[in-house]
Amino acid sequence: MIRTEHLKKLYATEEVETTALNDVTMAVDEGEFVAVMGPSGCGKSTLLNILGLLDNPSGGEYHFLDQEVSGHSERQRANLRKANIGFVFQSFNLIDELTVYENIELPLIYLGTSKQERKERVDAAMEHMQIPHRRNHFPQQLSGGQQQRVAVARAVIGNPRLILADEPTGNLDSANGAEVMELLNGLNEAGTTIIMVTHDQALADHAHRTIRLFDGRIVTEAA
Amino acid sequence: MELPHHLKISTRALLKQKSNTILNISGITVGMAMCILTLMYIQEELKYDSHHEHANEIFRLIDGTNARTPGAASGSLELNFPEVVSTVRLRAARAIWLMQYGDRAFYEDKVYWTEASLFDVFTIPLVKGNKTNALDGIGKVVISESVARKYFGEEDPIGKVLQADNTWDFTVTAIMEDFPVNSHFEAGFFLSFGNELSYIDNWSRPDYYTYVRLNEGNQASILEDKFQRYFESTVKPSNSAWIREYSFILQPLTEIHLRSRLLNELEVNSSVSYIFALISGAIFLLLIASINFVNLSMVHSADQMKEVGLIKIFGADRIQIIRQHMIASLTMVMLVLFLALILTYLALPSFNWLTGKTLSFGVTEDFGIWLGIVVVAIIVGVVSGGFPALVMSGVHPLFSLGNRISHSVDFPLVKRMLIIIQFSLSTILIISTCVVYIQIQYMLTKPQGFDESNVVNVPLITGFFPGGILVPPSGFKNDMLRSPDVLSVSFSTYVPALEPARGTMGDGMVRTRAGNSLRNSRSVRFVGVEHDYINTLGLQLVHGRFLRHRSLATYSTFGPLPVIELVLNETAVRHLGWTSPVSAVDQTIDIVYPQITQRGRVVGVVADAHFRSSYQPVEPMVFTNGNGEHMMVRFQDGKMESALSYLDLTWQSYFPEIPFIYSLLEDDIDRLYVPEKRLGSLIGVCTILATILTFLGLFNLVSLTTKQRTKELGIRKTLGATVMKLTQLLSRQFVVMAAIANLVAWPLAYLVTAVWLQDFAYRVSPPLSLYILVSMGILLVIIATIAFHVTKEAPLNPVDALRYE
Repeated sequence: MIRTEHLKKLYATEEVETTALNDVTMAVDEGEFVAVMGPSGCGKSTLLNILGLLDNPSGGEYHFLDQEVSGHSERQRANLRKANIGFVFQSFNLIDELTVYENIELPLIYLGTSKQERKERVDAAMEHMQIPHRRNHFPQQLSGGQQQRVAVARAVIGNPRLILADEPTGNLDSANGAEVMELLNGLNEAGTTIIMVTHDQALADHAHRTIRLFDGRIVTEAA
Repeated sequence: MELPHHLKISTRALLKQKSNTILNISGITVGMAMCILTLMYIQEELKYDSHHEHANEIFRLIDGTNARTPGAASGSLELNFPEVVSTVRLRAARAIWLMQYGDRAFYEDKVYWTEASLFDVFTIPLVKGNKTNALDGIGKVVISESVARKYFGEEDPIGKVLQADNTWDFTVTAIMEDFPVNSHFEAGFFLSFGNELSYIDNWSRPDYYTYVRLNEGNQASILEDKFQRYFESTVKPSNSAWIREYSFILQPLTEIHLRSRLLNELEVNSSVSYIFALISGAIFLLLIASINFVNLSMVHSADQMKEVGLIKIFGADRIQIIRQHMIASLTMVMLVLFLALILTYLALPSFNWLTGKTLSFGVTEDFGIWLGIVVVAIIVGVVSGGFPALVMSGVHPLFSLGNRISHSVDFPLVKRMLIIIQFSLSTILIISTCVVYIQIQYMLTKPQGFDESNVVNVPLITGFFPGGILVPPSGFKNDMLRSPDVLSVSFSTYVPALEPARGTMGDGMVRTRAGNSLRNSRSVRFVGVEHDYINTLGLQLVHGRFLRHRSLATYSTFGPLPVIELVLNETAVRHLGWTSPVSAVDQTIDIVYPQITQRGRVVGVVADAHFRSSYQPVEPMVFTNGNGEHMMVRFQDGKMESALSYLDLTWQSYFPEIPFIYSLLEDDIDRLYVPEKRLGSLIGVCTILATILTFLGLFNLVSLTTKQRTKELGIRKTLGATVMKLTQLLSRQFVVMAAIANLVAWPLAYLVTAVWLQDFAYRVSPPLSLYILVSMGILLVIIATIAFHVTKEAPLNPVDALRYE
C-alpha cells in the first residue's frame, strides 16, 4: 500500500538547513498496524505528514496505492487524501464551532456524500463510538476521551483504507487511552491499515511491527 | 454543498465574540444606511425638473448673472430661429398677494403671470380644463389642486372668479396637478398676461423669466451665439428706444437647481458643490465601512486559520476554500445590506425632518439606485471576502497541526499597505468633512453686514393703496414711530433676503469720470431707500454720510433732473474704480437711463453687506432716495410682542381691510440658507459617523496586529516589560505608518478641499491645526487601542504565553 524510496525532507531557512528525514525507505502493506517510534525531533511527525499527503518530500520516491505521489499537486494530494486517509491527532483538532455531529460529518461533505447517507453514516459512527448522546454538543463541552472518540469517528467516517494516528493517546489519561487503542485495534482487525506515531512502547506493542527513527533515519524495524 | 457548514462556522465564530461583532456589524450597517439615505437625497436633487416631458430640450434664457431677461426676447427667438419649438415667459408677482373667493381669503406667494404657451414648454398635467384656452386672454387663472381645495372645497372651481389684491378679477379656467417638490419653482396660480403683452414686448427691462424649448438634438450653445449676434446686429440698430447691454445664455432647465445662483432666482437653489460634498461623503462612508468589513474578515480569518487547515486535511481544495469564504462574506454583506435597508426605512422620517425633504422608500421608481446599492454591496462582499479568502486558501494544512511550516500567517506588506491606506483615507475623510462643515458653519454664521435681529419686514399690498401707488398716507410713519418700542421705520424698494424673485433691486448702468473724460459704463444694483434705512437695517457707515431726509412726496417728482445723492457700498467703490471710500466720496457719477442721463454725487460709503446669501459675492450697490413696497421696522430688543401688536393696531387704523402681515428679517435670512443648513446637517451626521466608523476600523486593525503578537508580548511582559514599554514597542511601527499616511493624506485632503472651496465667494482657509488635530486624534486612538490590548491580552504567566498558538 505504501512504499518509500530514499525519502528525504529538508527544512531550510536563510541561515540553517535542517534535515528532518534522510534516506527513509520503508513499506507498509494493506491491513498492517505499524508503530513509528523515536525521540523528539527525530522526524516521526514529518514522516506521518508525508505519508498522509499533507506535505511533499524534498527528495526520494513515495508510492501510495501504487502511484508515485511525491510530485503531486496540492489538489491531486487532496483528492487522494480525502478518499483514502483518515487522521487522528494528539490534540484532537476538532473544529470548536461545529457540533460533534458536524465535526464527524465534515470529511463526507468533501467526499460529496448525499445528506441522507451522511446522516446514516454519522449516526452509525456515533453509535459505534458510544457518543450519540453528545450529538449536539460542542468540543469544549466534552472530556478529552470523548473528544478523541469524536476525532476517531471523524477519521473513519469516510471508510479510509489508511488511518494515520499521531500520538492519539498523548493527551488522554490511561483509561481513555486504552479505549482509543481498543478502537484502533478494532478498526485494524476490520481491515484498515494503521500507522501510529507514539512515544509509548506499551502502545507500540499493539502494532504488528515498529519502525524506529533517529535523526531522520530508520534505525531499526522490528516485528 | 459544503457551504452551510462553513456559514455555520463563520456565524458561530462571530457569535462567540458577541459584543465585538455587534459593534462592528452595527457600525457597518449604520454607515451603509447613511450612505443609502445620502444617495436617495442626491438622486432627488439630481432629478429636479426632470419630470417635464421635454426637460432636456428646455432652457432658461438668462442675462449674464441675472435670471431675468427682457420680454421681447421670447417672441424674437420664436420668430427668427426655427430650432425653437416654443417659448414662455413668467413673471413672479411682486411681494405677496391677497387672494379672495367669497369669504375665503389667503395671502399667496406662489403667483406667476404667464401666457398660453406655458403648456407647450412645460409638462403641467391638468386635472380639469383645457390647455388650449386656459391662459389665452385677459383675467384667466390656472390653479393647483391644493389651491382649488383651499378656496373652493368641494365646489367646481372652473368658471369661478378669484379676486386678487382687492383689485383684479381672475376666472379659473383650469386646475393643474400640484407641482412636484423637486421643481426649481412651485406655482399655485398662473395668471394670464392678457392684454399686457404689448407692454411686456420690449427690450429695455429684464423683468421676465424666459423658457425656451428647442427641437430635439439642437445645441443650445449654437443658438445662444446666433441669438446674441442677432441681438447685436439686428435688434439694437433697429430699435429706436434705448436698449441696454445683454449677455444671453441658455441655461439647461435641469441644471437650474444645482448650478444656478443668479440674481432674481425664482427660489433658493442648491449647489452642485453640495452634491459633490455629499457624494464624496457617501463614497467615503462606504469605503470606510468596506475597509472595516475587510478588517473584520481579517480579524475573523486570523481565528479561522486552524479551521481552514483542518478542512484542507479532510479534502477541501483551494477553490472550495475561496468559494466558501466569498459566499460567507457575500452572505454577511447581504445581511448587513438587509439590516441597513430596514434602518434606512426606519430612519427615513427623521432624515426627511433633518433635510426638509419628502423622500419615500420606493423600490420601483428608484430602481436604478437600488440596483446600484446591491451591485456596490456585492463588490464590497467580493473585495472584503476575496482578500482574506486568497490568503486563507494558501494556508498549509499543517498549520492547523501546529507543526513547523514555512508558510507564515503574517502578510506584513499587504497588512502594512492596508493600514497605511486606512490611515490615509481616515485622515482625508475626517479633514474633508470637517472642512465642509466649517465652511457651511462659516456661511451660516458669517455676519450679514447688518443687524438682522429685532427687525420685521412688512410687505405693502399695492392693490389697496390709492391708485395702486406705494405711497403710505401722511402721518402713517409718524404714527408707527409713536410707540417707544418702535425704534425706526423705513420704506424701500428692496430689503435683504427678499430673493428669490420678489425683490426689485434695480439693475442699472453708471459711468464715472476720470478728469474730464467718461469711463466705460458699468452695471450696478440700485436700491431706493429712505434716510433712516441705515439705522433700521443697521448698516455700517464707512465714510461720508448716509442720504438725507427728504419728503416722501418729492421722490416721485420728475422733471428737470436734479443731481441726486448716492451712497455706495465698498464693492461699488472698487467696482467703479476708486481705491478707497475716501476717494469715492464727493465724486460724481452719470446714471444712464434710456435716452437720458442723470447725475449723482457720492455722499457716503457703507460697509459691504450680504443682501443675498453669502454663497454669492456682494454686489456693487448704489443707494438713492426712493421708496417702495417694503417697510422695515426696527423695534426695541425684547419688545417684539408689544411692538408688533402696536404696529398691527396702527396698521388697522389706516388700512382696516388689509390684514397686517410681516416676517422677521432673521427668518427671511434663515430661509436663504436652507440648502446650506441641509448640507450642514447631513455633513455633520456623515462626519460623526465617519469618525466613529474610522475609529472602529482602526481599533479592529490594531487589535488584529496586536493579537498576532500576543505570544511575544506575553514573553516580554513576563520578563519585566511594563505596559508603557510594550505600548511604545508596538506603537513605533504604527507611528511610522501614520507618518507615511499623513504624507499622502495631507496634500490630498488639501487639494480636494481647495478645489471644493473654490466655488464659494467667501471661504475659510482650513487651519493647519485641523490637520494636526485629526492626525493626532487618529494616532491617539491607535496608541490607546494598543495600550488596551497590551493590558488586556498579553498573558502574565509565561506558561500561558508559550502555550499561545
